[in-house]
Amino acid sequence: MTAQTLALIIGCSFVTYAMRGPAMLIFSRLQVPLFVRQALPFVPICVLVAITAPALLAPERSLDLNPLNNAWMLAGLGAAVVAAWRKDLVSPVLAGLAVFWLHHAIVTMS
Amino acid sequence: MTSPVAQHGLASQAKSPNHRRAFALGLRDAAPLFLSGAPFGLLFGILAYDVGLGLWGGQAFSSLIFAGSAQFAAADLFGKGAGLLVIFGVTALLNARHLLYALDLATRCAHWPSWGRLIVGYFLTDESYAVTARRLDARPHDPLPLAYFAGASLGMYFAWNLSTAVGLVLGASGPDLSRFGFSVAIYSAYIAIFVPLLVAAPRWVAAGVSLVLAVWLRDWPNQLGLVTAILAGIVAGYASQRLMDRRSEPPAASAGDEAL
Repeated sequence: MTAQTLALIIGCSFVTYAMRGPAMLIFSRLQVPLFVRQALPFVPICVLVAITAPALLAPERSLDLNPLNNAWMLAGLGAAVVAAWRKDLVSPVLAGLAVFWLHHAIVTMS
Repeated sequence: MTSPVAQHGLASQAKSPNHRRAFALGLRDAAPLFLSGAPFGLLFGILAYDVGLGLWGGQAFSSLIFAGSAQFAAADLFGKGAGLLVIFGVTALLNARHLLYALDLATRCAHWPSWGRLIVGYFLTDESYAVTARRLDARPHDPLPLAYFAGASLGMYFAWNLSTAVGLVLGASGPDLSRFGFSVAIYSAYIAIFVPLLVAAPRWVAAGVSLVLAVWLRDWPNQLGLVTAILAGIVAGYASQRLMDRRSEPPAASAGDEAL
């Protein structure tokens, strides 16, 4: 394990734990500002969208919205449709993979 | 390392018959989630090996960080060469939802001892919170023993670490998984997490702003475009929520109305 990997793990562990144990202790004694509580539900959505969007819409660094070329975007759309329909975590993953492989197979055949 | 100490503390909590029963109950209630979480632990193991964290690094990620989606994001960004500060920032933002869980549990489980909060807090995840909150909703007047949460959390911890280990072994010994669109599975998992959260217009606004900016600013150095997109999305979502709240408020009565 390199020093950088070790620093990464220790830093992420610290940041994660700070949001859990100490928070549970502090919140039993402290009032959380209303605006913080109102802003928190937006955080996971924004983080995950910001990580996912460039990977699916610009897989080769340049924006590619052509469904014939961009299997990543199609896979993401498939996963999103299934995620809206079924609330479990596994079905959208399977749908995304299925669309990606199907696109790959069609492109390979043609 | 916190976990062995934490496990010892939690185990001693579960020694009395009542606590032992609560521990077993928490374990049982959370069991279905162990199975649904296992594929993601497996995927994480494969990703961790793929981005160069190695066997021990990948396993240490799951055993020390133990944070599902934040682990994926951190490993993914590490693989893309992002700076440590950016990775820590994204990890903090992604885990910020735990503040909400901590707030809820701190309020509803005020009888839990301080040392217990500090230890079980280490194992607080979406799954263990969901199971515990459901139990609290079902029996709002029964003080829930700390051991219940410990049972649900420790079961999840071991299931996640076991599935990570299997994923790491697969990643190390299997074929080149990138050929099979393995990364698509990771991004599909992110989609599976955030799409069900898009339940109101302000959340769509937040997602839309983050999406556009993340794509537009993708070439900024050190993933700063990513951080900007996240922060702008949160501000946009919060602002639109405030706007909607203001519009839905009944108009304040004027002095003339009061006189009537």
